[in-house]
Amino acid sequence: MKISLSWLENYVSLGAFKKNIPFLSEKLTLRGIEVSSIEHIQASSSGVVVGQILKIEKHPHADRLSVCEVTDGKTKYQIVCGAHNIQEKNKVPFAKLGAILSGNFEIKKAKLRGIESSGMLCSQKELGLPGDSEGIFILPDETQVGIPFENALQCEDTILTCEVTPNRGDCLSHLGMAREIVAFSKKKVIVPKIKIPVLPKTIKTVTSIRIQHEKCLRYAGVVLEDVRVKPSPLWLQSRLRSVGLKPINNIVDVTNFVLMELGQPLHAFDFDKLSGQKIIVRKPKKGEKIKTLDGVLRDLEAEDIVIADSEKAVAIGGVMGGFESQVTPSTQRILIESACFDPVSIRKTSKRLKLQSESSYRFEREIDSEGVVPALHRAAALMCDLSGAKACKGFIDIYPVKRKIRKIKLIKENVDLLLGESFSSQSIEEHLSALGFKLKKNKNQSFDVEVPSYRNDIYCEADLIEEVLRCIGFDKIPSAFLPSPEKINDAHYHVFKLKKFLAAKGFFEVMNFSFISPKLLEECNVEGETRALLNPISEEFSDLRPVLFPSLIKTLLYNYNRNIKTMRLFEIRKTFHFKKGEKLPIEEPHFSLLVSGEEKVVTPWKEFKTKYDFFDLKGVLEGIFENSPHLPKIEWEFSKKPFLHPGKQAILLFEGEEIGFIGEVHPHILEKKGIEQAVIIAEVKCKPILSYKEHKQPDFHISKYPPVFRDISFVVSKEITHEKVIECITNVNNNYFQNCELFDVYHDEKHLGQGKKSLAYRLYYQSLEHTLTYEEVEKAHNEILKALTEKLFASIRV
Amino acid sequence: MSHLSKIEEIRTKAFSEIESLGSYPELQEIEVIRVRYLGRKSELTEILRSIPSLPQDERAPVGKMGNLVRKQIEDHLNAIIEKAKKLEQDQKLHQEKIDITVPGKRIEEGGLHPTTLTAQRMIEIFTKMGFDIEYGPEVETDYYNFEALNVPKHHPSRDMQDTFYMSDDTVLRTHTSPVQIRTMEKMKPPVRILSPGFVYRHDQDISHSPMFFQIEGLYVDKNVSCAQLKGVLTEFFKNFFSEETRLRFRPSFFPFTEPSAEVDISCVVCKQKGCRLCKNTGWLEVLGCGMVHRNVFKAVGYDPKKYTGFAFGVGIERLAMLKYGISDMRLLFENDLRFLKQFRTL
Repeated sequence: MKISLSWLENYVSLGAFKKNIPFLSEKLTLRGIEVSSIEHIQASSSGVVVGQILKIEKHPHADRLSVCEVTDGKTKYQIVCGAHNIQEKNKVPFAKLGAILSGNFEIKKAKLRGIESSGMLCSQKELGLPGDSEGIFILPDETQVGIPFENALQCEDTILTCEVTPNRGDCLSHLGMAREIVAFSKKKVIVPKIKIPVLPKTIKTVTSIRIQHEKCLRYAGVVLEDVRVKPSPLWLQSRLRSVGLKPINNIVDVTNFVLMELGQPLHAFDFDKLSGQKIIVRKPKKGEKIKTLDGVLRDLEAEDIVIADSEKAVAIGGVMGGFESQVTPSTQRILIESACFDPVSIRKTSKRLKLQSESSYRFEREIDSEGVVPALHRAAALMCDLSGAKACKGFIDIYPVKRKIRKIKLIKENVDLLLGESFSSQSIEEHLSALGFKLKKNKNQSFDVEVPSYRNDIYCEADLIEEVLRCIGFDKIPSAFLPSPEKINDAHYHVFKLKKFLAAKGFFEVMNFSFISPKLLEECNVEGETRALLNPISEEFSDLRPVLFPSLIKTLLYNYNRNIKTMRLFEIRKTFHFKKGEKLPIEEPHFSLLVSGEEKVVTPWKEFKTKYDFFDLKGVLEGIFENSPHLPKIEWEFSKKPFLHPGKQAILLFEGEEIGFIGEVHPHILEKKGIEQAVIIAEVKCKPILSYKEHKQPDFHISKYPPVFRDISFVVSKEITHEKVIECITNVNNNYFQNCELFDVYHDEKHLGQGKKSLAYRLYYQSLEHTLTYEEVEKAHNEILKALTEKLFASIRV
Repeated sequence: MSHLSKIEEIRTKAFSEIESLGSYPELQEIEVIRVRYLGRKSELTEILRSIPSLPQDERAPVGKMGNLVRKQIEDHLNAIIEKAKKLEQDQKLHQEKIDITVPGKRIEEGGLHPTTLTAQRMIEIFTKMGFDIEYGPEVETDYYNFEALNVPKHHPSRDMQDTFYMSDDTVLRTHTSPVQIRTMEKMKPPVRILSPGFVYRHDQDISHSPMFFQIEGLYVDKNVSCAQLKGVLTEFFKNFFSEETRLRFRPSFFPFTEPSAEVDISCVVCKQKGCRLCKNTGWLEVLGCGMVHRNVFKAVGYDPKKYTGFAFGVGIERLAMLKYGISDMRLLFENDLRFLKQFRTL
C-alpha cells in the first residue's frame, strides 16, 4: 500500500513527524505496519511551463508533422510537433529552449524538415511521469498558462510503501493510516467536509435497488445528473499517480480517489445504459457471461455475486465492472455504487478469474460496512464538484442485517500473564482508547471493550492484548528464561553422526530439491510410480523423488561439466512413495552415496592414482554397517537392477528384506549423459540402519599373548566367491583361528588354467590362555588347508 | 725429578690441554689428547708400568697418585667427550632441517552442507534450552498445514505463502508448523519442541528457493509468556551470532499466533552503521514468532484458558547466508563442489 504524505496530511496533522520521516516510518514499523521504502518524488524536469496552443498548421514538407504556435502567456513560439492528439486552445506542458527533461535531455533550437522549432510539447513519459505516454499530455482547461509545470502538477511528495498484513484491511487507505498515526501522536482525525448540490427530484423516482444474494451485505447508491465527463484536475491526477494509479476521467478518478482515501471500493455506472434503470444484486443465471472493463468475456459461476440491471449482468460484484455500462465521455447520468460483500465469496471469484483488483483486494480483507454510506456521499460530493453534476435527492441504502457491535471482556491479569510483565490499567485504557476502542472499566480490574466497526480483525481477548503490546512496544517487555526441561531427546543425533562419518570419509553432502522429472527417472531406467505436483515450479521439477540417486547423477554432471572429475557425494533425505487410495505418501528417508573419478593413493613405497570402483563404495557401506552397534548382518546379494552395470551390482538384505543397492551406473546411461568414467552409486533406507542406536558393550576379551599369522595362496575355480572361502575357513572347528584377511586376487587364466583364479589370505591364530607353540599353529593351519582342498577343490600354491 | 712431581706435571699439562679445546671440542682432538695422556705409550702409563721396579717405599705413593691422576684425566675427558658428542648430534639434527612449508600428507576430507552445519548449531543451542526434536511429513493435508493453524480456506492470509499442491487437499508443507499440531494432538502440555525440516513454497529468485529448511519452536505450558519468548530468542541469537547481537521485535501478523511479531537482529555486517545488506536500516529480518492463537489450541483440544504458549519459525538458509556471507540462495542448492569444499571447517 502506497501512502502519500501530502495526501495523508488532509486527515491528520503530521506536525514534527514531517521533518523526520524515518522516525515516523520506524514508529509505524514497530507498531506492525512495516514501511518498506520511503520515496521522495518531484518533477524530474526543469524549464517546462504550461503553454497554450494557439494555432495548428500542417507542416509544408512532412505529412506526419504539424507546426504549432504556442504561447507561454507572454511570447509566441513556433514549435514543430509529431503528435496527433492536440487541438487548438489545448493547454500543454511546453519545454522552452534550455529546458532539461527526464533522462537529462536538453531542449535546443532545431530545424525539422526546413522549419525551425523553438522548444517542445511534452508527453507524460518525457516529463518522467508514470502513465499514458501516447501523445502530448493535455492539461485541464482551468490550468493557468505560463506557470512552471511542476507548480501546476503539484507532484512534490513523499511516498511510504507500507506492507500491510492480511488482517489489517482497515489500514489500506489514507484514513486508516491516519487513524493509526493518531493513536500515537495524540492528534485527531480530520474528516473532510461534504456538500452535495441536490436536484428537486428524489432518487426513488428514478431508480431502485434490490438484494437477492445473501453474500451482498450492504448496497447503497446515489444518482447524479448533468455529468460532464472530462480529464480530472491536475491535483487529483497527481494524487492518483502518487499511489500508482492511472488517471482516466473525473468520474472514475473520484471512485479511485475515495477508495484510496477511505478504503471503500466504489463503482460508477453509466445510468442510461442500465436497462430499466435499476440494480439487482443476484446470483448468476446458468451460462451467463459478462464482458468486463478490461474487454474480456468471462463466464459467471454460482459463487459469483452479479450486479445486474433488469436484463443482464452489468458488473461482477466487488471484482470488476462491466464493459457496456462503463462511464464514457458521452455519459450524462451516473449511478454510484458503494457496497459491502462477503470476503470469502469475493476471494473465490477473484482467484477463479485470476483477477485481483484494488477493490477485490480490500473486500477479501473485509471492509468496514459502516463506511459504505460516508464513502458514497464523499464520492458524490467530489463528482458534483468536478463535473458540474447535481444529485437526485436522497440515497438508497439496502442493509439487510445490520452489523452488531462487537464487545470483548479484557481482564488485566490476563494481559500481564500473556505478556510476562504487569502494566497499569490506566495505560491499557489509554492505548486502546487512542486506537478507537471504547472501554468501560469494571470493578475487578477488567474492561468491557467495544470494537470499532473498522477493526474486523479483533475477535478475542488475545487480539486486544496484541493491540496493547503493539502500543507499548516489545522493547518494554523483559526477557525471561524457561524453567528446566523435563527431558532431552537425541533423535536428531544419529543422522548427524552418519553425516559426520561420511564427511570424515571424504564425502561431500549435497542438497538437491525434493523434486524430479519423470524424464530424468526414465533416463536413469528407474521404474515405479511418482505423482506430479498440480503446480510445479518447472518441468524439470515436476514430481516428488522416489529415489535420490538420479539427483546425485545430476549433481555429478553439473560438476563434471565444470571440469571437476573426482567426487564423493552423499545426500540423506526423504523419498516419497504414493499408494493408490492413500492421501499422503509414505515418506522414507534414504541415504545415497556416489563416487566417481580417481583417488591418489600414497603407500610407503610409491604414489599412484587408482580409479574408484565398486569396492571403494562397498568399503564405505561396510564401514557404516560395522560401526552401527547391534546391527544384524547385512547380506549382499548379486542383483539385476536395470540402471546398474549387469556385472557390478548388488542388493542389500536386512533380515531378508531388500533395503538398498550398490553398483556401477549402467554404461548406457552414462554414455547418454556424456560421462566418460565409471560412476558407482548406492542407496539405502535409513530406518533399519539408524534404528540400531544403543551403545555396544566393548569386547574386553583381548588376548595378552602374541598372535601368529600364516599366509596362504591357492588356485580355485572363478565361481568360488570370497564369501564361500570365508565360510569354509570359519566352519572348520578350530580353537585358535581368529580371523583372516584377503590380500591378493589374481586372474591369469594362461598360467592358472581355464576358469581359475588365485586368492591369497593371511590367517591369524591366537589363544587367550597361552603363547601358541609351532606345533599348535601348524595343526590348526593344516586343518584349514585340508578343508579348502577338500571342499573347494583349491590347489594350494604356498 | 721425582715420579710424584712428574705425575703432577702430567696432570697440569693434560688439564690445560683439555681446557684449550674450548667450548666446541671435536671428538678427534679429544682422542689425540686421550692417547697422549692415557694411551699405552703415554708417560703416565709408562710410570705406572714401572712401579714394580721402583724402590719399596716409593711404590705405594706413586701408584696411588698415578691412578688418581689417571682417573681424574679420564673423568675430565669423558665429560668433554659427552659434550662433544652432543654438539656433533645437534649439528647433525640441524642439518636434517625440513621445509615446513611443503604441504602435509592427508586423506582428503569431505564436508557437510552449510545448511546442515547451520541447522546443527541451532539445534545444539535450542536443545540446551530443553527443546525436544519432533518430525513430521513433508506432504501434508490441507488441514494440518492450514486449517488447524487458523488459516481457513479462502482467507487472504493464504496469500502469504505460495503453496505447491499435490491435490486439492494435499500440499507440500509450507512451514513445519503442522508438526506442532501433530505433536500437540498426541501429547499433553508441557510441550517444548523443535521441528526442523524441509518446507516448500512456489517461489524462486536470489533470496527465495522453492525448497528450504525451516526450524520451528513451540513451548506450551501454564503461564508461558511473551517475556519468555523474548528471553529464548535473545539468548539464541546471542549464542548463534555474537554476544553483541541486538534484537528488535516488530508487531506483525501470523494467523496462528496472537500477538505476533517479526524479529530483526542488528546487522551482522555493519553493526548497525548502515550497509547494503540491511538496506541502511541497521536491522535484518530473520524470524517470525508469537503467542499461540487460541484457535490453534482449540483445534488440538487444549484448553486456551489453562495454557498459553509461544512459537517461532526461522529459515535456516537465511541464517546460513548471514553467517557465511553468502549472497545468493541458489548457491545453496547448486551443489557445486568448489562451493561446498569451503565448508570443511571442523
